[in-house]
Amino acid sequence: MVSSNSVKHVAATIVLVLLLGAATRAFAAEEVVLIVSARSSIGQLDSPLVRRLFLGLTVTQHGSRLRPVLNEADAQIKELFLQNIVSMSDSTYDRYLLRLSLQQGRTQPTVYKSESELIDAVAAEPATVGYAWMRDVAHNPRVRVLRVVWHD
Amino acid sequence: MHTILVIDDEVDVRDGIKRVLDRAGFSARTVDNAVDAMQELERAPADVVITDIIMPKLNGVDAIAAILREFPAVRIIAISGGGNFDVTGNQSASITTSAYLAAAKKAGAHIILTKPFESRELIDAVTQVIGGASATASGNSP
Amino acid sequence: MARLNATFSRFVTASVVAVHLMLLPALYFGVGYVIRKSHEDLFVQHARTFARVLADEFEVGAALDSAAQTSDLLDLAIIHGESRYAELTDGSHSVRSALGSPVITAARRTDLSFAHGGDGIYFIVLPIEHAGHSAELRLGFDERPTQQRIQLALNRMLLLLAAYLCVAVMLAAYLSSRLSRPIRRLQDLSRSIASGDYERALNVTTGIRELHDLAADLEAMRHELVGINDRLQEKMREKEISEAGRDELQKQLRHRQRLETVGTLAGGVAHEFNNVLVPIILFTEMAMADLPPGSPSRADLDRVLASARRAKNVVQKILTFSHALDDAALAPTDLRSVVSESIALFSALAPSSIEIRTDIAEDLPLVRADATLAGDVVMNLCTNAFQAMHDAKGILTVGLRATTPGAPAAAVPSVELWVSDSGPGMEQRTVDRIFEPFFTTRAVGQGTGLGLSVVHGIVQVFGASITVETAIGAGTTFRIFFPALADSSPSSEPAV
Repeated sequence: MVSSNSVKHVAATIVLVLLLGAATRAFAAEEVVLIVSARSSIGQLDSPLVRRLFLGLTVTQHGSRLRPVLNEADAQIKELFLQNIVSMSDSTYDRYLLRLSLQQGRTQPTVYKSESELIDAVAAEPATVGYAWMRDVAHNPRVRVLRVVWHD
Repeated sequence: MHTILVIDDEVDVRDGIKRVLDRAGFSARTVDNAVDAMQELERAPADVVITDIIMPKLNGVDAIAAILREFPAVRIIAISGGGNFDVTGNQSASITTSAYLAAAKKAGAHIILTKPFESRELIDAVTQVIGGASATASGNSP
Repeated sequence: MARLNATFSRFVTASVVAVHLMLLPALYFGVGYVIRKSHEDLFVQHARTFARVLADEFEVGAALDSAAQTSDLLDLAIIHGESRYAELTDGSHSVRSALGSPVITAARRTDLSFAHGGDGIYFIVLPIEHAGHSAELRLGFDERPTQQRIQLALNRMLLLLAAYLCVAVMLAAYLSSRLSRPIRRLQDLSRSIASGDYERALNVTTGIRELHDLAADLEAMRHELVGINDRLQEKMREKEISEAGRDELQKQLRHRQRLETVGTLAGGVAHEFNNVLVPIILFTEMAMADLPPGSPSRADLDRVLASARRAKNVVQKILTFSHALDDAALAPTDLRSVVSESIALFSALAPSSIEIRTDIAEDLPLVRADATLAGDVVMNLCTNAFQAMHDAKGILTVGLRATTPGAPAAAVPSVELWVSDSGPGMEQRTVDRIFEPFFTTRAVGQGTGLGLSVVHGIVQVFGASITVETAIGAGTTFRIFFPALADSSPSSEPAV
């Protein structure tokens, strides 16, 4: 007989699908975006330039040197950055930055473990360039999205 | 009949000597100590005194001297048992029989007789002393 | 290698094994983690770099315009990049390398870490900007070789750790058995000491200082114990000897005292005794005199008198004995004349069944003695010997000789007088009591038992010593050792 048992079954399945869908949708809808201060006058940066910037090489715009900041708020965004932007493994990138600072005296980019701090840092300094999840910065008036650097 | 006074503290010795003397025809009296002996002699004199020289109370040797002083005519026969003066045996140096006998002789005894003696020896001694001779006839040599 | 039955060895080895069993897994997993991470990092680095270079090649070069060039580049990814999948998607158009594994269907997602997804493939998706339009490069790098390398490294490490564990255990077993050997030996030796065996020396060869010191200490203890033991035994022996000596002296003292007591007692008793004898003799004589002639009682009373007379003699002897000792006149005496006179007297009294021999040495020193008492001694010994041989024909030997110091019973130069008989000998029980006053083995009525005690008393007064040699069936010999007078010249004249 059609009982509460089967009703429960169906309800459970629907919930599961929705959750799954939510998870995938969450993943599917994610984008990593380059952000600058809303007050900054930084124009577009193409991929090679972004790569050079985050590899610690000098990138200037309008006469001022751009300053990169690193986002380690979660492991996913960190790995996406390593894979897609600098194309190195974690330890290799660390060693690279260390070598840079030791051999050439360049300062290493600041690392932020929380997105709110990162956003504040980017917003505060016009020459700063950072990256974050689109969802975190979408409605923030203090930062301006330059472009999408990764999307699923 | 000759009278004899026997002085000895042992009753059996006194009686034995008295009986032998009586059977031999003498008249014998007995006392058990030298003091009584003096009194007895005063009461009734004797011809012969037979005395033990080792006795408690009065030394026999002194008794002999005393008797002879009082009754110089009396004949003395000294008898001795030998051994120690102290019969409990505590004296380490024994006074020898010969010493006693020598003392007795010195005191004036006429004949010395050592115990135990036989009837014959006793009678012979009495006879001898009455006869006047003061030979030292003794049963055993000291 | 010694058997691991010793607790110490087993304990050490078990401890080593236990510690390693705790630490080695941690080590394995720790080092394994490091190995794994390092391999993975290398792989990811290689994959990302390769993907980046290939993407740049597509972006910069003109390969995108040519499908063939695109395909060639994708093939490179498969070959050089160790990929199993390489595809370029440009809008709806996609080129895929034919060298890749055919079974893999692309997933849209990108892998961000090694073994993400569990399919053995590390997917990297990189966007490519070219001539105004976007393309996507998808590469699937083969994780399996790296995984195999990791596994190989881990296996090698496991093997190494296992080998190390074995070596460690064997080493522990060996070292602990080497250590426990001297310990066991020490234990062995100290156990033997505890059970009283002090003789085995404690020598344990070991390089370990504590054990060496312990062994040295134990050895010192054993030495001490041996020394103590020896001293104890020596003390005990000394004690035994002195006690024996003391016992001997006490025996002599008691004997002396008894003799004195006997003498004194006899002296005291004699008076009473003699007094008692007077009435016995006198009244018995009178009773006999009163008997009719021929009366049988006469003989009986005669025996009474005889006994009374004998009693008198006994008392006399005692008195004579005790008085004589006090009156002893000691002077340098030639024993030769004493002995010859005594023997002359004795042989006159003894029956002819006794053969009398003499063995008198010439040149004898003088001794300090009383001639009369010395004569009594000889007479008493001869009488005793005669009485021992009473039933048989016997040989009586009397001898005199000089002895040198060191001979038994004579510590100083002495003159030895001995009297031997060929009688039946004596038992030890008898010998022990032979000098006691009134002790006699003869039947009642045959002797008073005073003779030998008289001898003994006289010997003491002379400061001489007397010994008895006897054996059942072998006769008896009495030996008297008179200390010789130092400046005496042997003389044949009597010095009495």
